[in-house]
Amino acid sequence: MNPAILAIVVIFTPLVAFATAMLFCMKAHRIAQGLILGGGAVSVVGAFLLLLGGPSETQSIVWLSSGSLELSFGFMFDGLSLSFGAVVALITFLVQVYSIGYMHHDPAKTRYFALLGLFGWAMLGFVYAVDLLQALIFWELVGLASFFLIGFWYEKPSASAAARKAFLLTRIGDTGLLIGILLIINISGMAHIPALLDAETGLTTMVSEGTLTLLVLLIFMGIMGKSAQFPLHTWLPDAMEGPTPVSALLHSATMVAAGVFLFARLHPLFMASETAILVVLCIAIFTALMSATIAMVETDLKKVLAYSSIGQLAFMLAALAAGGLLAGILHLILHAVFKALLFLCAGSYIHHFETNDMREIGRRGGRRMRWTTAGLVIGGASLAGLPPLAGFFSKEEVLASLSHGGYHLIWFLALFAAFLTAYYTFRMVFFIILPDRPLEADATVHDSSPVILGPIIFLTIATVLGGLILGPLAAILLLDVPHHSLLSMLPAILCALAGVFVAWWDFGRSRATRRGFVGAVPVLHRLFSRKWYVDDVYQAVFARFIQLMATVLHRVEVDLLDGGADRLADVTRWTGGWTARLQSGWVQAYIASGVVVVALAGYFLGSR
Amino acid sequence: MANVLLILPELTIFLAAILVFKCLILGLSVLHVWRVAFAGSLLGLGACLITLGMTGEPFHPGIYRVDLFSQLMKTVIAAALVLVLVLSDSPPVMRRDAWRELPFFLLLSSAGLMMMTSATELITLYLALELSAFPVYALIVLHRDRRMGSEGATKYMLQGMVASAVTLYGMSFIFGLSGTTYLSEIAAALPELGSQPLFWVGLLLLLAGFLFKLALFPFHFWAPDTYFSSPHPVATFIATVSKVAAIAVLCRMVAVAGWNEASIDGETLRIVLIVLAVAAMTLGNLAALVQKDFKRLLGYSAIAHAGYIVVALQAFSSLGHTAIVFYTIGYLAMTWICFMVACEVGRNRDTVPVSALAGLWQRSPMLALCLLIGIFGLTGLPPTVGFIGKWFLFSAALEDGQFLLVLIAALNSAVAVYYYMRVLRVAYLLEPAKEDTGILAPSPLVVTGAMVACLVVLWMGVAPNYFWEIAAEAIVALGATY
Repeated sequence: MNPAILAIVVIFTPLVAFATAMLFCMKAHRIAQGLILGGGAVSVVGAFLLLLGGPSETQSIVWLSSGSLELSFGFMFDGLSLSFGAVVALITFLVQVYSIGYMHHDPAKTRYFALLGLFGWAMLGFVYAVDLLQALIFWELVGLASFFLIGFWYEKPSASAAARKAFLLTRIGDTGLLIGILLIINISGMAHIPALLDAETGLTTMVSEGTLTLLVLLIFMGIMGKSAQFPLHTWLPDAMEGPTPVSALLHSATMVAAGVFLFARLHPLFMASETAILVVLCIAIFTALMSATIAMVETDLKKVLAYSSIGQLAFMLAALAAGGLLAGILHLILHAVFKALLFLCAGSYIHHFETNDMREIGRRGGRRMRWTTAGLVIGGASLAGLPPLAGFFSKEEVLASLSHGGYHLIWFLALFAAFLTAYYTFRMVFFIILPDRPLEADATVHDSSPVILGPIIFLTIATVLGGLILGPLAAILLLDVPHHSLLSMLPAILCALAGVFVAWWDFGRSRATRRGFVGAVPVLHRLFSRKWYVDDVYQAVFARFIQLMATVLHRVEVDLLDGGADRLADVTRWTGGWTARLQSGWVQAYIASGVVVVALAGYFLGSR
Repeated sequence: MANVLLILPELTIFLAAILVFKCLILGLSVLHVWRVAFAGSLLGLGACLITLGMTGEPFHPGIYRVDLFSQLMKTVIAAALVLVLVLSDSPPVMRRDAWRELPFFLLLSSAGLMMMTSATELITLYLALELSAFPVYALIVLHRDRRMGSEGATKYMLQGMVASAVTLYGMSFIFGLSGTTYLSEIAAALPELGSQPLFWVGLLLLLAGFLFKLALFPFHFWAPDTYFSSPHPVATFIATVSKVAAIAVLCRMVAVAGWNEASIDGETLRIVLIVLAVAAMTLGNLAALVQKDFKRLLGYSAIAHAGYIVVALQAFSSLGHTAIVFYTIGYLAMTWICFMVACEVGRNRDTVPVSALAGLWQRSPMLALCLLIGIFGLTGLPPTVGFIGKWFLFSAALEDGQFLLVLIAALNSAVAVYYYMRVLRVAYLLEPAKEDTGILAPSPLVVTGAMVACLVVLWMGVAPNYFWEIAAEAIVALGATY
């Protein structure tokens, strides 16, 4: 089959399902659910068929042409789009299946499922996009759909505030992205991504390195917003207000991954600017360390996972910036799998115990939910980077690409961040499986229903076997598989094991203090638990600054602009009234004026 | 036989009109007559689609030309006729007997309009013009309120008569100077004729009749009054179908002449057109600001839109003409949507004041959504065809270096936002008045038509390429020498 037709099916089936559900099935929950799941299944099958078909030529049609600029609409079928598209479709589908169980009692189920369809359409459209502007449109649609999903329980003030915050903070980045894209189109006269990336005739040959640095950093602003990098990261933890399956979707394979994906998509442009590489590396490593330290003191299960997402995204960006394209994409894909697993496990606990506090989940017998707990432990071990799980392979590649790129300081800091990651992940695991007091014999604790466990088990298996995709992925991306000696892997393995051990020492063993080593340094503990004061600084500086600006601008607005506009509007309306009075209904006058005007024009024409 | 095939669309509509006339004589009921007419118009649309792409001259060479352009315009006319008939299936309570004749006149006028798009000879053109105009004079009288209908019809007829008399007068000038009535021969003699002042005067007078149909300044006065005082479906017909033919004639005349050739001084004509366009846009938009009647408001908006179209016409370029054809198709769909809402809301009303739209979203979410799409289109907001079409129109003038004109046009569209949004404000934010809180339920046929029209408006706005290419091919078929 023609890949373009298949791609259209993959991308637009969720949209059709969304529209049908929204328009016709508001009352028929089951039908809506079936529609969305059917659409999701079609997308998965299509995306995997595309993947099996292998890379092929880009296909696009001209959408708009203006002068020499042609905006096209089409699909890219390179290894990046194909592999990531399949992952997106798969995780979206699994989350939909999981949601059947999770959202079983929600009265607004149809809206929920329909929005999942909308989200799937936006994200898949973005992944296959061939034109920068097309990508931007779907990028914004992803933002819009995530706004709806995060604020799904909009009657909760905290949820709607979180949705607003996510939307606004990503908007800040998107402003930069929009300016960057418009500048690129203006400078190069094209928006076709393969043409822009072309080594001989692309953007890199048209502009100086300084200009290029500016352009890619503007684009990086958008990535910082979407992929939650410092200082635009604060929306992500708040976004946990959405239903847990939504968190699993948004913060593993989609939305936040869109930023990293855009980076990988435009990789050659970033690689052409030394300055941009350094900026990205610094921001990424700082974000990784900061998020890991906050996660060390967090007690909300979902927030720990949220901060770990921020950190892992930073790892991917660092790897990409250091030139490790394969490492970045591998970590993007594998992280999508095991992070979705972790969130789904968290959802399973939360659904049962109706609390987000992991200490309480542990005390009330979380470990009796055996399948869920198995998923959590395996997902956690993968996040910590323990061999032979998926996370070990990708994290190993990330660290290797940093040291190969010659960024030794960054490599060292990344190792430290990996240690912290293992530490806080197992802190979470030990809180749940080794609670501080013995469990009561409580018979009511039982594992979740099969629709919830199904996706969890599937993802658990995928996490165990994930490392196997390294070879095929490298082949489809047309890159070489790097070979590492066991010795070079040793630091990463030791760091991970050390993290697990320290976590056991602090939280696992029977005489553990359960305060963690940071608890010994109150200053640090306060810094971490206040989340490095970033939100407070925003509150203090920006809010106050904005208040001041608002007051000033309000005066300007009311007295100068509004007043002026009012006068202008009055004059216009008055003129309008006067003009309308010309329409007297007196036909003789109409005809006379028509004839007079024609006569005048005729005189003008004739006398020339 | 081949010749019959070439004129199949006109012929079908004509035969349908005659059949409907026969039905009227036989005394068939309103509904039956309407069914016959509707079937005839559908057949006519089919005939247009069959002949799309044929080229030839069915009559004496030089009189009547069938090409992609004319057939495309005929298709648009036939489609619009179908849509207008969709709106006129259920007659108002009063004057059912007279209402029976509505389809007959609509068909007859459409046949005339179709002929206008093909005519390449002055007398043929004039005959087609009159054939299309007379039935409409009769239609306006069908208004529920006899007095209002008669007054509106008289006014419209008087102005229409004067305009066509002026046209005839202009034709006589041109015939006197060139000795021919064939457009092609006149065009060939242009370098010579262009030096004679009288020719230009004649040309301007000639254009008057078509500018009247297009409702361009200074022949625009009829539009608001006529829209206001004619029955709602008739107003729909005047606002949509008859516009298309006028635009087609203007395009054909300008394209055949090839004004941009160095030997002809088209510059003066262009200045006149620019002045007319600016006057039409400004007058239309300003006067619309204070209108309280929805159809009257649409009348003024039509004047302004005629101005926008002339903005592109005066560029005398293929880009300009393609933009016009493209915009015409979209404009037709948008205007029809707005009038459809007016028809549905005003089913049992003499007039449709804007306040009658209050609370429309409660009375019929479907109509409210249609109105939203239609009004967004007329305002020129993406993702409707109104945005992209206007962009094409203006870029044609920009390509020509008419920055000031485009600036005026853009300012005008900004002013227009006010009165368009006022309509939406009433429809969405106000509670319905006490006397009309009832649910509005459009017939399935109307719903289907509305869905098609909305789809066209959005499709052309999102993916303009397909329609743009058809329009461009049609303009190529005109055989213009730009």
